[in-house]
This record gives sequence, structure tokens and C-alpha cells, in this order.
Amino acid sequence: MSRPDLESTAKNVSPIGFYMLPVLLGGVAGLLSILQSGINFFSIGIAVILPLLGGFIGMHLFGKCQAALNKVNLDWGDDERSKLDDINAYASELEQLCLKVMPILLRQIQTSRTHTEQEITVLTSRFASMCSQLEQIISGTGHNTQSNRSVDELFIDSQNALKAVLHVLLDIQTVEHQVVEEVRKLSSHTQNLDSMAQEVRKVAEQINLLALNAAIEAARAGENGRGFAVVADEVRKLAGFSSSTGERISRAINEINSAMDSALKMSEQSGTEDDKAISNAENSIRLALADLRVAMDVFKGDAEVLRSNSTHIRDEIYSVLAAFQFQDRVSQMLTHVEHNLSNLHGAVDSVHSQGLRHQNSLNIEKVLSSMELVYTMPEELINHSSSTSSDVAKNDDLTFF
Amino acid sequence: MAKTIMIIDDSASIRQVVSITLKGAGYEVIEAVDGKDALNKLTGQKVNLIITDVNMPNMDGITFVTEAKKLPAYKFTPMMMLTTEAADDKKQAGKAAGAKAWLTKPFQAPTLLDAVSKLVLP
Repeated sequence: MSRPDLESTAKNVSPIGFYMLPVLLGGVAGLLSILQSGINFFSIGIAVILPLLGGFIGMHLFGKCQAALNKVNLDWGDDERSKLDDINAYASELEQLCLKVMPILLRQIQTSRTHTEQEITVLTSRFASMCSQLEQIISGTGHNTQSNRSVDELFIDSQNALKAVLHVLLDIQTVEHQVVEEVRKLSSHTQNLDSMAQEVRKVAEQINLLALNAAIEAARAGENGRGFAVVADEVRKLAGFSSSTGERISRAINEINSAMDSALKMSEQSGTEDDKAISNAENSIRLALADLRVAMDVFKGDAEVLRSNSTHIRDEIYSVLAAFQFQDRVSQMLTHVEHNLSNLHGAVDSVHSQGLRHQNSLNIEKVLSSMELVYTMPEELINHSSSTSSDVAKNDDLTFF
Repeated sequence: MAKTIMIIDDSASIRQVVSITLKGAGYEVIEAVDGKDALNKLTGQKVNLIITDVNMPNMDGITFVTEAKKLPAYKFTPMMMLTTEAADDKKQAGKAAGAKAWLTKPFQAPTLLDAVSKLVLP
């Protein structure tokens, strides 16, 4: 309401109301006086004086009322002017507040949005890296090529390798037994050789005896037997050689037998020890394989638990990563808020700088419409209309064209 | 041979989420930050599917689809919009530009992989 309106309100108080009633009452009283007293000077005087008196009283009342009204109007006007000044000051202050606060809010929103974007990007990157590492654990593809083979394959390979070693040892053991057997056979052959050497010695003794008899018979024959005596002597010498050779053969055979006995004993002892060693090795290998089997089963179980847990953690991380998409939505909403705040700041600044403060100078409907044009998400439209509708946007909605 | 998918989004976190999801399923991924960057990276190599955001700086997703369809090498490459936009008029604009599907964010990995498996070129 403007000041002229206030002043006109005071002037619009009509004096007629104040004059009419007393004059009318005076007039009625004067008429009653004429009717009661008849037409005479006195009654006519009363009839004239009473309306005039009413008029004076009305004028007096009007003057008092007007004075009171003027005072009220003056007080009211002062009060309204004061309020209007307050409102103008408040509007100006509000305008200044908007112009100063909006850029601050814009910067705060921008900073918050930037921080959120940066941190979420870093977090997403780290989670993505964790997913990759978990994928490696799950698929069993490490840097060590051995890990490409399954635990079972590794165990079977180890088992086969140890069995091969055992077979080699058993083959060596068989060969050793064969050698011992051959040495034993050889020993029986040397015994035959010894008896043959003894027979040679006996034959040599017989020949020697025979040569001796021949020499005696040659001596009896005299001159005719001289040549035969020479032969008999030579035969006796040969028998001596044969006898000594037989002795040497026997000694050699004894030495060989002794060496062979010693070798046989050593071979048999070695064979027995080897049998024990191989048997121990076989038991050790069996025990080692059994322990390895148990260890590998435990390892497999642990690996399975690890794989299962890794899969679970990876899936959880996928869920977390999917949830990080909130940042994109929040970022877009904040960008739209920034844009709209910036536009609002511009509108307020335009009114302020041009001094065009009047009704509809901000064109609120236009501002609201332009805000609506910026939105891309259904939630923004719902928020804009302050709707409490549960008709929220359908996320994860797939449409094929 | 692994199939190649291009993901275009100005949000680094969205690119990473899509990328890790697709790589986990055995696809190879090329990333671009907006439509202009994507056009620069489409240099004739085989791309089995293109997934693009709609609202991006420099070049938006619908303009990108329109421009990419003009390139002989990518005329028949399937393209899918992945966006927070859900308005029907926008979807129709995407369809008119040549997109084959429209998925609203935030998406779940199975939905994305299902769409990809149906759209990706052999």
C-alpha cells in the first residue's frame, strides 16, 4: 500500500454523517414543538434553533472526530512509513543476501561435487584393482607357471616320479641279486677247477712214479736202456712241472675262492642292506606320499575356501561398484542445482542492478519453468513439484528398440 | 578372440564400473570421455558394441550416435544408451538417432551383461 492511499483514507471520512443526524434530530424536535404548540413565534424559533444547535453539535463532534482521526492517521502513516522503510530495507538486504550467499553456495556445491567425484573415482579405481586381483586368485592364474597345474596333477606327477625312483632302486636290487647268484655259481665252478687241479697233481705223481719205474727198468737194460732212461728222466721232470703247476693252480683257485667268498659275503651283506634300504625307502615314499596327499587335500580345501571367499568378496565389490553409480546421479543433480542457482543469481542481480523492483520483476513462473528445463532425472521433477508421489524413476530399466 | 566394446561417459567412476563389469565377462573395453573423444578414437578398428551416456560435455550421446552412424565402418555397429535420463521423448530421440537399446542408471551388472550379450556383434 502506498502513502497517497493512506492519506486518502483519512480524507474520505465524510462530515455529512456528523451533520445530518443532529440537524435531523433538531428538525424533528422543532416539528414536534410546532405540532405540540401550534405555529407561533416560540415554536418556530424552537424549530429553527434546534436544527441549528444540532448542526453546531455535529460540527463540534466532526471537528473532534476529525482531529482524532487526523491524529490516528498521522500515527498510522508514520507507522506505515516506518514499516515500508523496514520492508524496503529488508527487501534490499534480502537482495544483497541472495547476491552474496548464492555465489558462496555455488562454490560450496562445486567443491563438494568435485571432491565427491575425485574420491569416488579413486575408490572405484581401487576396488576395480581389487576385483582384478581377486579374479587372478579365483582363476588360479598367478605369476608362477606351476600354479597353472592343478594340485591333483601335481600330486600324481610327484607320485609317478617317486614310483619311478623306487622302480629304479628295485631294478638295481634285482641286478644285485643276479650278480650274487652268478658269483655263487662261479664259486661252484672254481671248486670244480680245484678238484681238476688236484687230479692233475695226482696224474703228475702217477707219471712221476711211472717215470721212476721206467728209469729203473732202463738201468736194468744197461746200455740198451740208456736212451729210454733219458726219456724217463724227461718224463719225470715234466711230471714235476705238472705237479707244481697243479699246485699253483690250486693256490690260485684257493685265492680266487677266498676273494669270491669275501665278495659273495660282501655282496650278500650289501644286498641285505640294500633290501632293507629299499624297503625303508619304499615305506618312506609311501608315508611321504600319504602325508603329501593329506597336506594337498588340506591345501585344496583351503584353496577352495579361499576361492569361494574371493568369489564372494568379488561379488560384494561388484555390488559396491554398482552402488558407486550414485555419484554420477548426485553429480548431475548438483550440476543442475549449480546451473539453476547461477540463473537465479543472474535474475536477482539483473533486478538489483537495473533498480526494477516491482511486482513480478523476478517473473517467478519463468524462473521455475527454466529450472524445470534443466532436469534430466524423474526425481528432480518430483522434487521440483514438491510431490510426495511414490512414482519414482525406474532404475536399471532396459528398453530395446 | 575377445569382442571389443566402447564405453563413452564423462564420469570416470561410471566408465570404471562398466569397464570392470565387461572385462570380468571377457570383453575388451575402449573408454572415451565424450562423443567427440569417441569419434577421435573410432579409427576403423572393429568395435562390436558401443555404449554411450546421453548428457556429456563437448558432444552428447544422441549427437554422437547420429555422427557415428554416418561413418561407413560403424554404420551397422549396435549402440546402446546408458543414462540417468528416463523421459520417453529422449528415448525416442535415441531410437531415431539409431540406438538399439536404452538402459537407465544406476544399472545392475546382470542387466548390463544381458543387454550386451543380446546386442554385441558376432
